[in-house]
Amino acid sequence: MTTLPSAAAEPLAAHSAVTAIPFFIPTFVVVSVIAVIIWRDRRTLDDAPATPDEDHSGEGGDRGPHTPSVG
Amino acid sequence: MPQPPTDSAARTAARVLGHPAVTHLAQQDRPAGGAAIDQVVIASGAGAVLAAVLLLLGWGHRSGRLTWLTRAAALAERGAGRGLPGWAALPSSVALVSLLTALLGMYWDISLHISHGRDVGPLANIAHYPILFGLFGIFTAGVIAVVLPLPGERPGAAAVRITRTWYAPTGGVLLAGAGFYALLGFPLDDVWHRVFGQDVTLWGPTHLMLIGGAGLSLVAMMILEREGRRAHAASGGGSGSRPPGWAQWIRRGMTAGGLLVGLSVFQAEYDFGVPQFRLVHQPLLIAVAAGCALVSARLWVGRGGALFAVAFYMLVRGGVSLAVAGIIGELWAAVPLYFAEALCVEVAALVLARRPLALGVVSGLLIGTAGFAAEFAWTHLAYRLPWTGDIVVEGMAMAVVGGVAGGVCGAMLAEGLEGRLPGRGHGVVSNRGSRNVARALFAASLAAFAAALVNCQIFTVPRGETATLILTAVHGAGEDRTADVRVELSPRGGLDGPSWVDITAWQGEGLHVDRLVREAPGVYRTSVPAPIGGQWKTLVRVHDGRELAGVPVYLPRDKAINAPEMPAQPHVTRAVTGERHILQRELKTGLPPWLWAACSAVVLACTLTLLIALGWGVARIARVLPEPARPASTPEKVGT
Repeated sequence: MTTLPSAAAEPLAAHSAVTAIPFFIPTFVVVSVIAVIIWRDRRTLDDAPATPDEDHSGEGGDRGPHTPSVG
Repeated sequence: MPQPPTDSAARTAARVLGHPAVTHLAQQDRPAGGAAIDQVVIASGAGAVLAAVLLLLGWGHRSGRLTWLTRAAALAERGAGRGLPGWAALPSSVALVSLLTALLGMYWDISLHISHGRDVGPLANIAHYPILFGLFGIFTAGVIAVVLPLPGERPGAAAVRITRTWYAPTGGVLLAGAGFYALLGFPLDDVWHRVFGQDVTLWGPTHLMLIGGAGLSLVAMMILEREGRRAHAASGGGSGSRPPGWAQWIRRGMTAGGLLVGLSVFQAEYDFGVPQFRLVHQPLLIAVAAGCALVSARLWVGRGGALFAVAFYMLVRGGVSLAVAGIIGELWAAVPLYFAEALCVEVAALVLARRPLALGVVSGLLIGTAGFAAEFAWTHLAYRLPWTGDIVVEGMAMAVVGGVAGGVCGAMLAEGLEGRLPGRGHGVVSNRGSRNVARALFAASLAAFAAALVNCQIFTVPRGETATLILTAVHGAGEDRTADVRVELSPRGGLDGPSWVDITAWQGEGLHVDRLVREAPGVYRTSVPAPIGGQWKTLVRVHDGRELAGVPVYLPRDKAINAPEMPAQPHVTRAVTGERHILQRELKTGLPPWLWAACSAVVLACTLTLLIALGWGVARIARVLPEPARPASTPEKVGT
């Protein structure tokens, strides 16, 4: 063996977690926000199935110029 | 083309880059502590800002207040994005740039670890940033695809419902998922290292998540391209006429080439010449990548698609190797050629283009034989550790299994993307029957690949063997000390045409791989002096058949892991042992085996989730966007 047994070796470098925090926090946040949006939409569907024009997610409100994205 | 054994350009580059941790601290003084609280706070703050930017972008676009995304999408619809709606074209461009960034970071990072060893602290490794930005870019590309379709707009028939007015393309969701899975590898990697030690190997399970997520995102991009093409064609296109065929050919060719790149990076340790596993893995992995990517390229892109995919792959992988070695001054990574394999697929397709599963199988057989032979020759030109006669039989067997398994998956991928289900015309009449055939074939391919992989993984360590190391000449002093070494193995006749017998030295601010010259049975000598001072870790490596073993020549003192120096003595006999604890000195010993199994199971679960999700995505496309009926006399068409 090339190493002596070390009783309580501390972690040698926590490089992955700290440098990665700024990048995977946003993924969790964005995924959570979309999950909440989906959940609210499905719940509204259960509560009030007869109202076709409501949009509870907020992004369907006053819109600016609508540009078709095809072509 | 002989490779220089020692890369001291890395040393100069480290000083130029101003790595204080590398140039001033000797490895034995490297700190062993964890991250400080203030660093975590700063990182979290940066994360909150990035999250806010993404959310603002999405909300601003969907509420109409921000036109920036719309304008960017319109820009992306030109050039190779022609014929695609913005919600497919823009994410593809963002993902392309992100993947290239991540790939560069990955090879840079591997090269830094090989030449310098483990990271010193949380922010010490500059190459982590391109990786992180690249993987985050893949996730962002998926989010853009999900967010771009305006309220009320349905991005294709296969779109997934978020709310009643918000639909997202399946490919976009999967692209975000692949990016998410890859980024998840970072915190899991940290946990892994805390548990098992700071290992320096590419094939740690958490590292595979980082690589695999990026590579498999290409499948999500193929799905997105397909959805985009169908939606664009269904809406009649912008001007009412079909976009030029070359745009689609190039776009799909690049994507298929990207898939080849993504599948080829698992072999990176072999590309650098420091593989920590048996040599037969390399032909297996090359064949799987070739089978899957090149068969799907030929079927999905059209005639010449496999060759174009290889050309794009060469441009990307070659470019990254040149950037890492030439511009950044780190190590040179060779790349497999894949050209012969592409030729095999194109030739087979002259006869079998209309029978994709047969094409997959026959291509796989050709890849495993003719392709194997071509790569064999190529390794002698380009690689630090070329293939030898030792692996011809087993290597070819592995290559055939891998090629066929990959080829079948590649055929099903391309066919599914075109809306064709397997088995039609072979007596399978129902959709459900086809789906069952597809699932069975997919499962069988994965199982065959897994079996081949297990075979490659099984290795033995010789017992009772020793090696006498004699320093026939010593040069230099201190950190730059090198020596000519003669190695006398005991028993003498143990090796029979080995895969490799070499002296490998790494982590001394460079890499040194020197295949030993055979003087007599069991007696070898170095062809160039090997480093035996400073921070180098030098060992003799022996690989013959299933045996994989090493003998340490010189190891420096390492305070952080309580490891003493093992000096290079003028005449010493040492036991031939397993390599892992020499190559991965930081690995913790004495851990219960169930712990490794449990942690690996977590990674396996995440990986299977991603694979099954991608399979679901392809199947969904095949079901919801079936191929339109065509008259029997229509010549083979590329597909819409």
